[in-house]
Amino acid sequence: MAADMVAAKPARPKPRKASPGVTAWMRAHHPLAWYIFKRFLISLFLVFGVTLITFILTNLVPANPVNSILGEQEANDPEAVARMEAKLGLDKPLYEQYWLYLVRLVHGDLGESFLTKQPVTDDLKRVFPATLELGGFVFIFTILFGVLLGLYAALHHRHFADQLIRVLSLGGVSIPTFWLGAMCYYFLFYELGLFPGSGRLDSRISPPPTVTGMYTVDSIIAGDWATFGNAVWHLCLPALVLATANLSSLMRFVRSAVLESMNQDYVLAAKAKGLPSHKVVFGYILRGAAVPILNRMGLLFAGLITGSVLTESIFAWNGLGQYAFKATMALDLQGIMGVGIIIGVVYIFVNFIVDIITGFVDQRVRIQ
Amino acid sequence: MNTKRWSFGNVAKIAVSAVAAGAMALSLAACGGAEGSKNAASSGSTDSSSLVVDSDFDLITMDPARSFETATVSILRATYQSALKYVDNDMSKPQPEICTYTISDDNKVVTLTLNGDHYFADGKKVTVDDIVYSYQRVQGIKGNPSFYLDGVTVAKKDDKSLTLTSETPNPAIPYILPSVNLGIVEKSVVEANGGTTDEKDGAEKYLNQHSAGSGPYQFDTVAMDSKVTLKRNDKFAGDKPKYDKIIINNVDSATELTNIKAGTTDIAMDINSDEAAKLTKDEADVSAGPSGSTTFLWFNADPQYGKVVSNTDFVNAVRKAVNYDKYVALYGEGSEQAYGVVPNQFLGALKSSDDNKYDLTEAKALLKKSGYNNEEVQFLYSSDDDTSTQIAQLFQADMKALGVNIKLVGQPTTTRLDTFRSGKFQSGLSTWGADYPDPSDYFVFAPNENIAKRAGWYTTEGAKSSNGWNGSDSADKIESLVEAARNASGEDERAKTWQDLQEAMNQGSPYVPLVVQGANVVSRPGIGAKYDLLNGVDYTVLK
Amino acid sequence: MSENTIAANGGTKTAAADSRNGGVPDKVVRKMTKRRFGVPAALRTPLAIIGLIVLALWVLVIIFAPLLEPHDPLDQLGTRLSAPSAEYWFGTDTLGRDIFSRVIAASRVSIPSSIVLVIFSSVIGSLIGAMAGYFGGWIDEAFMRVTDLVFAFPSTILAMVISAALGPSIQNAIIAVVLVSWPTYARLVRSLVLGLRNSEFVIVGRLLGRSSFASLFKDILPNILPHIFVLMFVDLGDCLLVLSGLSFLGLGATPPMPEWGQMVSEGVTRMTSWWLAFFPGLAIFTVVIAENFVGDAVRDWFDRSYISGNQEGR
Repeated sequence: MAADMVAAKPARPKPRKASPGVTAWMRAHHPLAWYIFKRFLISLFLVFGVTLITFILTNLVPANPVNSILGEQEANDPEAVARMEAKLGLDKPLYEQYWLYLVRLVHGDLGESFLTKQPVTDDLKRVFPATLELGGFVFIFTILFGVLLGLYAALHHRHFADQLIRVLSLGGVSIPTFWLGAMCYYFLFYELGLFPGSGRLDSRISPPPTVTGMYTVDSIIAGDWATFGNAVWHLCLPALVLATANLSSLMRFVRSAVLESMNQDYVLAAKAKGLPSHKVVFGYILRGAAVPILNRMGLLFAGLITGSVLTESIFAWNGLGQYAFKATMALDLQGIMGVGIIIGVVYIFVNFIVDIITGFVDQRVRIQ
Repeated sequence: MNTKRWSFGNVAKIAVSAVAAGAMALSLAACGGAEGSKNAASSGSTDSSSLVVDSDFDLITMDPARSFETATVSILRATYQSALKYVDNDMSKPQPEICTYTISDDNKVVTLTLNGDHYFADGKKVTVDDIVYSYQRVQGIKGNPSFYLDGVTVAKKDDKSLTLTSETPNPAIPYILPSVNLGIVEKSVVEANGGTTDEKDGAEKYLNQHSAGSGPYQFDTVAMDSKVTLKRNDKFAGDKPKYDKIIINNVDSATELTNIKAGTTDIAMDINSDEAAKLTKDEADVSAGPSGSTTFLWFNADPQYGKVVSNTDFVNAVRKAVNYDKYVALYGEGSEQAYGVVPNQFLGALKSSDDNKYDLTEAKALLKKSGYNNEEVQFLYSSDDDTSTQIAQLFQADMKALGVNIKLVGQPTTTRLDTFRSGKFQSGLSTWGADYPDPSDYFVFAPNENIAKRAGWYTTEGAKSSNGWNGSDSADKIESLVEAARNASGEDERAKTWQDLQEAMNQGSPYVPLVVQGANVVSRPGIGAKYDLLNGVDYTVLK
Repeated sequence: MSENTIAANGGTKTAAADSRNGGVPDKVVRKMTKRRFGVPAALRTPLAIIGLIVLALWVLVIIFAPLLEPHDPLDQLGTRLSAPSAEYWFGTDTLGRDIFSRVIAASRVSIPSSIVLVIFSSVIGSLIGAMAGYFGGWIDEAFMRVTDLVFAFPSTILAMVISAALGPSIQNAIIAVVLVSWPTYARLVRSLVLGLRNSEFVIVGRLLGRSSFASLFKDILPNILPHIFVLMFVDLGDCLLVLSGLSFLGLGATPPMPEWGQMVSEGVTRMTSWWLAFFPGLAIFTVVIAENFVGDAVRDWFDRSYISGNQEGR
């Protein structure tokens, strides 16, 4: 997918009419600011779109939320049903429901999950850090090794190391995550006991006082190193599983981006000038590959936040993915909407940041 | 090209050193982690002050007047006391807890009298007012358990006693009172937090986080999706419980097994019977027994929705074609064949039945009589429940042997319930868990009642107000027996009428009872946890 | 989903016909790639050959599945949960069915459904992308925003919700995944069409009186089809992973027909019977990795001969 984003970027140069006034001046004199502004507007539009999609989606779900919320006895009582419908605003026309939904959203109110009976905002505050912790851990790990190994493979193109990395990475993207998870769980935990089982901490250890909600960070803040060690230890296995496919695919991506960059004229020129090879590699080649790799990182991060459903379900990691899955199975509409929105917003935000960094790094984008 | 502004050379060097540092930190942390957990594990065997429980739960509410989830029950049992209780899974007669009871000869008035002094966690004594308030709240807020006290008037008699008066004879009341849903809450605390005895009640939020009971424990922390910790209620009137702290973790069943084997947990609630059977005595004790849940098949009795399955002969053919032993084996240790809808260890249960017996030849004859002509039969089950999925496939294979073409329709539990409730689906697999161990809880199976409505089973009279369903002969035939069971009084008469009713149901009803599900509690050697039919596990009796 | 360099390059390259050999005379190309028996060199790497053999074996398995199954995959005659043995090579499952037979039978569900999925999402995505790229203007704008949205919305969760709402079945799972995967094709095709629509032969075609429809389908489409085919091939493995993932969550294939992902999920709750999950997962892995080995080689070959003719180094 990442590559498609890249492909979509160099949009067709449009013959624009020179529009007078502020916009033209902005475009001419502050191209970067204009670019950021434009990306910001697009991001805003996307956020709006995500709210619309979640709303439409949850209205298409055939389950009747009222029946699920009300108990057995009350669901048979038409009066109670009508009251609950009124409370949920289900008696109003759709566009009005959507408007009310947006108004609530602006106030940070995502409704109440009927599964947990808690405000969805509270639920998300609890589960999001768990996913962020796992995802962030994997992200750092993946970026470091992915870029280094990918670069190494490209520089040793067609040598043994390249071939080995290629086979490993092809293998990595081919393993079903849920199966890898189950097998790691079975062999590394159940049979060999090398890693702890599911969950974020041993059951005897109480979570550190909540600051960020991420146990590793919070335990550092609290200066509780035993808890920190335990939290990291619990992270290892799910992180390994989640990292496998992501690392493999990032390595391959970096490799091909670097290979492409190696054939650019300025790199060939730098080589011809006789610059030392490390300067060519880091100053020219990697720099040339930076834009696609940055874009890829943004997608990777967003993917880690959204794509951990399977890993979380194997390791009973009480994060966003598990929450989304439970909400989906129970058709907890408010919960599903909340998850959709938070993930959409994270995705859009990360892409916005990546766009800005790209704008700084790559002038070609700015010029457009 | 200017390399000064953005030197990737430096970035890469930093990156390399960061990797190295990260790797070191990781390995250090891993060592620390490993050590930490070893300590935890070893302390598990010596430290008797806290009990670690693994339970695969989805808590929805911790308000005793609303809660209806199995995982909540054992937690509430430890934090709230009820008027009466059962001892050692003996369901034949309730024993005193906070109160003693008497029941009038006409089965209409139950009198509860305070049995000694009991104290809430804040030191206040449990009074008759608290009990009356608790019962009235259950009735008034119309939560799931409100039906326990339907048609009952609760009144304070004096400072020592209260009466529960029913309009019609209600011999089940003493059997209902031990339910945790009828746990006694502290009136002043609940009221201070928005509690009322009508639907405006707003105490649920408070009660989700704080217990307001007189049990040996009280809530310490509650995270409904991950962890509940209980601490001792120092004011508890009875014997001091063995453990100071109980930690209940939300853990999936696979981990429970490894935790039990590793000794990192003391009690595991959800180890399936296949795994439990493989545990050795050194690893764990397994305590299994029949639960109060009956798994049954239902076939829509209304021809417009049930089509061919609405035929009594068809259902009876199925009854004979089901290979019961296989189903019992699948549910594992503790399970028994269900001979009627009432679980075997309850009053009025059928101990055996010639109608529910595997006999393929007779089944085929009955099927022929029913006029079944290879139509596809839609069969509903919970696709997100592993055992239901297996049972559905087992059933499909049995039906194939009979010559019936079953189409499995799996739906996630929530959706499935909606479908089942509509009363328009053809057939399916369902489970009825006892709310209280008394046959009265099984009137839902009688024509025109809740389960019967879902299976489209109405009497001619009942169908008139059913909004589109037809009455059926089998329902009309059985109506007098239902009446007899309702009016019976005294244990013997109640048992007899219920057995008669179930015999009749086994000959002409939309239900085929399959299995009384077994359940187990697995505990580390030395913990000695016993499976408790009503509460799953009763922490208060651990010694 | 895996990255693909074709898409990355596609937008910036001109007509495939023009750059086919990168200006190098045909003879030289033939010499460089050493075509023997008409198989390009890139497809003769050890990995590609292993991949092709494994895929061919799976195709044979699919065709001859009923003959290869030692037992009826639905027959519940074995002892429950027995370990792999001479009688039951991969052991038996919770209902005593032969897992070996079920793994084989499942190939007829899992593999064809991912192929169907790829076909649907490529056709839908390509049509939309072609429209957007060819007509431009507000159609293009609207299309770009919609794909942005689909990308922005978490695809796993979207697919989960859709299949939960429609009710679990393999058909609904396919629909759900198609709904979230078409934009990949749409973006590729859009950028290819953008590159081609102003090239000489298309303009000449228009001048000769071709309708937009004919121009799009007769002039442009044949030139971008190979790109689409390569992406489809590369995508196939991912689709199998996504579909079996949904089945694993209980939102895909429904019993009693075996499906690999669903078989793995049956095993996860029973740790002591590792064979329940191990073999079906291994089946998925072998198919996907073989497919990726071949896909990788196909892409290399394609990049070299169609796109990067002047960059022999890649």
